[in-house]
Amino acid sequence: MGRVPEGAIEVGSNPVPEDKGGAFFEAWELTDDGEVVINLEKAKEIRMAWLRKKRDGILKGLDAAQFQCYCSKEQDKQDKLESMKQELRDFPEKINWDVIVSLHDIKHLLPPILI
Amino acid sequence: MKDPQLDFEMAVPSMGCKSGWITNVKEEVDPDIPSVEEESIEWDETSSRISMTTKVPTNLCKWLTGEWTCHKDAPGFNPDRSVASLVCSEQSLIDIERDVGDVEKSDNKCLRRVQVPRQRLGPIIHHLARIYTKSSIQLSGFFLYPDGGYMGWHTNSDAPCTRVYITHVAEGGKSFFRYRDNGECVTSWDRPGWNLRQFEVTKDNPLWHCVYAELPRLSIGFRINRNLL
Repeated sequence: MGRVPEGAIEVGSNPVPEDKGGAFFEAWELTDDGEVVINLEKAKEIRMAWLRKKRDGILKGLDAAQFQCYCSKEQDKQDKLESMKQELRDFPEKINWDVIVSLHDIKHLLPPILI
Repeated sequence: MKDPQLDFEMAVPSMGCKSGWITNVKEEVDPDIPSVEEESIEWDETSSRISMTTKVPTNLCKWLTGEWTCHKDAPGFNPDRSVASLVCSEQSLIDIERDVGDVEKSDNKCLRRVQVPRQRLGPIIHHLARIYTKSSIQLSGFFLYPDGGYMGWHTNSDAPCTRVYITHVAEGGKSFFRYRDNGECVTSWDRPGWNLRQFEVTKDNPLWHCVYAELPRLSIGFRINRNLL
């Protein structure tokens, strides 16, 4: 009834059952058959962006803690925090992309260090 | 756009109710039960489908101990031992398979969902990460089964991974995890204190399982995905 913009295609209320909430909407792609599919490479980028955002938040907290240790001249704690920060910076290199072959796999990527 | 996070711990908690029932749980770290890597876990029971131990690292248990707040009871919450027993019977599984087929998640359950503050979840996950190395670890569910509580037969076949459930009961032999192995129903009774069970969920070979409780049973489940280097 005129609610669908010109050129748009109605794909139903749940076109991608494995992404009901639309968290990976930017990775949705419309095929020539009118089917909505997930571009896995884009989905990986979305997940990684989300994980990096989490990582950056944790790094900020560790920066503050490290500065406190610097002020109180606690070198051991500073070193420990630095090691944690390095582990956080390195987390993308620790992902085994060979076993991540579906959206389900992408959704279940969450290194414990980011929790 | 929503954050691509699966776990319910991210959800805004609804109004809760206090559940301070856990008492007499050992909270101190016991050096006799060290946190070992998965390969070195000493299992009390093993079958082709599932492994179980009561030697749960105490430095993990201590983070699970204490007061937990439950979400508001779901509508129709009505614990009943006879219903629980029926739901978890072998006949019930036969009926489900005949009438429904695969059940990824069971809607037939009577339990309380426990709220998990992030500051308590973090240490639990970090301790688990020492056991299950090179893995992503996500909370799959944190429940308090009441006396007469249950979770009906299901397979979790929608989420293939290694599953780990850590449970606590004050008394043994009054609650169980029941599963099907090679066509036979196997009942893994809870032992007093902490119990850890581990099993693989695959699409090709789903593990039918259910839970029965006739005393309060705390259960925290994790999905272990071996996707790190």
